[in-house]
Amino acid sequence: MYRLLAVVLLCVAWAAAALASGENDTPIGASTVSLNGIARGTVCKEGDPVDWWKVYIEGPTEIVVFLDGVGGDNDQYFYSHSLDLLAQSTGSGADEVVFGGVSGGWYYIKVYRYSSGCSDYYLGVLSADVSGYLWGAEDIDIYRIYMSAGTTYWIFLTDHSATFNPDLFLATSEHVIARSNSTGNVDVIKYMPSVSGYYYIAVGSASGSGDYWLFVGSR
Amino acid sequence: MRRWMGVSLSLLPLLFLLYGCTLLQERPLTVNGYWQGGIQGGAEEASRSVQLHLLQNGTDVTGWVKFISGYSFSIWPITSGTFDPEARTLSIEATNPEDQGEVYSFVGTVSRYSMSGEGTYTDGDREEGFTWSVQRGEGYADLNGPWEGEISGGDFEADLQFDLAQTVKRLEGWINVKTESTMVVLTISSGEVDQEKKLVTIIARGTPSPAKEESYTFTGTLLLINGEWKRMLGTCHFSSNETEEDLIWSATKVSKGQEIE
Repeated sequence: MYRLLAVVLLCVAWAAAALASGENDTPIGASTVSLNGIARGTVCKEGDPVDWWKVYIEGPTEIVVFLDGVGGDNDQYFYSHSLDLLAQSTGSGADEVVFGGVSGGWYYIKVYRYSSGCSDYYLGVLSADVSGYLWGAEDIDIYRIYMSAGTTYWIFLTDHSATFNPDLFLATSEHVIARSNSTGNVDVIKYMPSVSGYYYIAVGSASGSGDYWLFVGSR
Repeated sequence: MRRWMGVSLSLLPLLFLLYGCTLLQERPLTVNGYWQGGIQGGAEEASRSVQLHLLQNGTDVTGWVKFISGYSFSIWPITSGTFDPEARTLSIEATNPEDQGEVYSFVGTVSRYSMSGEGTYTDGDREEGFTWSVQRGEGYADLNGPWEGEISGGDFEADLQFDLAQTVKRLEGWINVKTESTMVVLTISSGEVDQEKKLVTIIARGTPSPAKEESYTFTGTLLLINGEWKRMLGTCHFSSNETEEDLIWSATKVSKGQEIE
């Protein structure tokens, strides 16, 4: 019995190692990440600079595709099923995000290691948990969420307006734990609670009014 | 002690003035680097693209001139060249490596980001004049990411998508050849960018059906768009189990925002 288990574990380890060393180097060999799932991978400038992923999205929805990498410079590209580029995030850091509305079907994601060395990363594709509208700078919406200790949460807030600037807050019933007040169209908070319980996500307008979308992923 | 501090403080504006003046000193004008533009008039064609790679050593200038016409190009070494930084004038001669009688001479004035002037072309028998102008481009060609373009030849016509991952001069990735009815994904088996000459060579293979293997050998030159190496074009040798063909191709680097379109 133990021998069988050892063989199974060995096969799993081998499969994981094969994937890390570049099995998903092209769209044909793309690994699958499920919608609202968060996958792990590694890219290395020498030997394995590219990982391809694909995701199936059942119908029209708002999504964020995020890359949470460690060290150096990673880039992320988002493609249609026919491999037309739809969005890219190629900043100078290891974290990247693209966002917006999709009509559904298969989509491809390329993770590219731009700088030298290797980077472990999380790749997540989240559909919007909630959408809302803020009526100007005084307006604020508050949502309650249960969060488990030791789990990492990624909370994204997006909008599509050049004049609307919503901000994102995470709080307990007593105080604000984290905030994101980016002036762009994406805000993000990454948080791992040490205590399980209910927390509050607040979305407030720093300026303007408009639609927003809120996404929560965890692993 | 306090008096010395006072003296030191009183000297600060002077130091700032001197240091500031050093900062404001203009960098010396050089012609080093890559330039691209066009020549108008002259031999055979009314207008053609030209690229220069200039290496300045004192007043001597070496390097090459690349002439690009349609999907073909040729590189001519600079056989004599001088740059006078005081007068801001450049004079170079480039000779056809396959026919030493063919010579292009360029004479012009130089500014930091552009050069222009007049020139002559001779094939040994006749001489023709032309005007030229070029703009400065960046030194390093970053080909990483997606490119879109076309490939054609004879009755064949298809859209091209390159997706390149570059490690200094090595290119990896895939190429998508899309017609109205078919889509073949090719894997790059060997790819290289010549950073000095700004040339690309890519060999890609695919199997559109189990019994059919296809091979594409792309050779081309990079072109500057707004100072960046964002376009490439050239010829492609296609071969499969059934046929061989020479094609032409071009592609432009694609750039999108973070918001999904």
